[in-house]
Amino acid sequence: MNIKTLIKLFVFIYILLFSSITFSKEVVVRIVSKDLSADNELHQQYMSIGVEALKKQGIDIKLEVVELTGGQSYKEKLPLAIMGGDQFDIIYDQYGYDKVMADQGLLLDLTPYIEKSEYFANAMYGLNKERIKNYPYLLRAHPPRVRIATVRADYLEKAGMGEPQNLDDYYKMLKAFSESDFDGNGANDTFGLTMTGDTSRCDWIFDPAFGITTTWNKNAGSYSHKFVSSGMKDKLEFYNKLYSEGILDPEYITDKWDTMEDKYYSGKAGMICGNVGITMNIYQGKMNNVQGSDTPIISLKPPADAFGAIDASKEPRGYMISALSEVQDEAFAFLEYWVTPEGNITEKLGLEGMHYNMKDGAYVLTDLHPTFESRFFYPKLEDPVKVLVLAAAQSLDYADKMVTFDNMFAYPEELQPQADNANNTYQEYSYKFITGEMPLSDFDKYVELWLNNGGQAITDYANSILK
Amino acid sequence: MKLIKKHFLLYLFILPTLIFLFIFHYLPIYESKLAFQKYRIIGPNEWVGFRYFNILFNNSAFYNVLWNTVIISTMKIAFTFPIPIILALTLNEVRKLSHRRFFQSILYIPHFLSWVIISGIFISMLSINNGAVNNIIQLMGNEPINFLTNANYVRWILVISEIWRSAGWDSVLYIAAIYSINQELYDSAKIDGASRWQQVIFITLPMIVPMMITVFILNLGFFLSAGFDQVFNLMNAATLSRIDIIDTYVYRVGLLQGNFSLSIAGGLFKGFFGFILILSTHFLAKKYTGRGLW
Repeated sequence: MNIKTLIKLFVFIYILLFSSITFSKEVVVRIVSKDLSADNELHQQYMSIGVEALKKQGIDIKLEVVELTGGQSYKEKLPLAIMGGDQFDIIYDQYGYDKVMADQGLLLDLTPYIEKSEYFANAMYGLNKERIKNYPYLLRAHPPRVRIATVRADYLEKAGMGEPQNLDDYYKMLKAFSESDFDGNGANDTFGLTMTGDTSRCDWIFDPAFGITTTWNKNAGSYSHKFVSSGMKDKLEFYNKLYSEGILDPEYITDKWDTMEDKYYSGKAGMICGNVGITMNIYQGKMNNVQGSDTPIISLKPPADAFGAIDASKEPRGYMISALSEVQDEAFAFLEYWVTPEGNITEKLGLEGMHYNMKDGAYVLTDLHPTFESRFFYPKLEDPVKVLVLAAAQSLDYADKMVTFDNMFAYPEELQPQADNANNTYQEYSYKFITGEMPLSDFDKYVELWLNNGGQAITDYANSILK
Repeated sequence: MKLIKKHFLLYLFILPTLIFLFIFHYLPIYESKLAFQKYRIIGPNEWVGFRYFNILFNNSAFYNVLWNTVIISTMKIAFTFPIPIILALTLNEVRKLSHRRFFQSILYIPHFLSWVIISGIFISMLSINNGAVNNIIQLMGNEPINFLTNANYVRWILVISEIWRSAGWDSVLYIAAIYSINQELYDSAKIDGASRWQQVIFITLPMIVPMMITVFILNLGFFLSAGFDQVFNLMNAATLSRIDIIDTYVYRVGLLQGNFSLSIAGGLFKGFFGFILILSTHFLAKKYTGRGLW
């Protein structure tokens, strides 16, 4: 063996040794999420905070944010990627694909991890704890995702009214908005209320006011769907009254969510139903931008002191860990970091230097903070500094106290077309009743049609599984 | 083999296209077997036969959706087929080249807009609050009409927006066919005293009939498509039962629920139907006009 060969051998062994030492310390955790991009420097900066924190605990991970290709949106890209054999350790889902994976045993049961965790117990809201009990695959620490009425505080003042306490107060308030020119543009063109696509946003606050408490209601020993209940008829009558008096925006059915918000910010609609929590910060920020000044918005108590029932069977969205992952402990540790007191700071305040600064030991939010959204969780931990605008804090308070749980369930594969048909029948006829195209005296005809269009099939199924 | 050797270079030119077609258009057909299987992310799929076709066909909504698709496609073919021909004939009569090119460009532009933008334009124009169309209606002393939620109008909105978007672009083929007509035919006709209108009827139109037949047969292959992007962006709860088509139905009930087998079953049904339509139209056209796809 000559000297050249010896040197080559030595270099080869050195590289091998060095690589094996490197690989033995660092594990790769692959994460895929709708709100994370491998090409976004801010996202990388955000992730590195978690990675560095874990390193200090002796957990050395290399986080790989996977950029999905194929398909038009994350909704399409994720199942295509998984079908194509791509493996991820941490997966975010909000489109129901988790159910497909869970049914095939591909998701990790997070119960033992959560029980051992010293942070998740404090970070999760009551609804999150109820859901993880029933479906231990999707992890979420976030306030209940209900919708709440929000109005401009100055509109209420101009109307000479306090915050509405019941349904009658809501009606008077909305009527006042639609009959006045509070936006001061010289035209009576403001609607009391607008929505987007259908009435589901405002059903969160109005359903309980008409006795609609859960999706399935037991009457005389058997269950029937809320879509065909007497409460639903009364609610449609209420919406019809709003529509015929010009209080409800007639374009609500064709407006997308951005058009709805635009009408709210520009004063063309007095009230919308928006997401509780930090999203109110965004509404407030946009309202100030459009109005050119500080224009406070507030959240209103639901008229029946309760929100519409929320599905407690499972989280509709959240993070999950693959059962096939070889780095499950590390993956959970990364997720857990964001509900620690340290992680809570980043999840609530954002990136230092961009969304907040430290000044004399105190957190000072920058002008960019209203544009920030947490990437993983919104833990039920104390905010490091006041981050929520009035409407946001109010909405969280109401949501925490007034959320109610639903008894809905996922339909089996063979019933999904029937459920879709029944739902579409409800959507179409609810619009006809609201606009007056069909009189409410024909409600029984609609019920018969709903039952024929898949309603009977799903009702029979509900009666077979609900006790 | 002799032919291939003789024109070897020509075959070499089309080889990449053939390979592309084979890999991306023919090979994937094999995976349509997923319509007969219960998909499993890991492990072999489970053979379930016609289960997903039964799920589709045993639901009354599917027949409504199928009927919508047939009606909308028929309306579109009936109205969008002749308009590009008329446009091409009209453009051909514009004598000045610069004017012709200008109008051609104007007519092509809508084709490059996505349906998201076009539906936004139509929603805005037809808006019951300050939409241009309703403003005119109100000026004439009538009540505004909510076109986009009206069951009687919504299909026509699909047809009109489709014409607005595609008529200009679709006229390209016919313009090209018109340009390939031998000028001597027109010269002879002029000498024989034929008017401009007679030249169009007796020369231009007959000469582009082969192109018309080809385009018609090919369009029929997509008869059950009816335009997913367009319908998806224009549909709402009030008009769903009138314009819900196979593609939007299968997308909602199959793809969004993660039920790919159901989606593929719907797609396979559509493809099979389109295949039968193309073949039968081709043979009918061949029998009665002597011209078909091949």
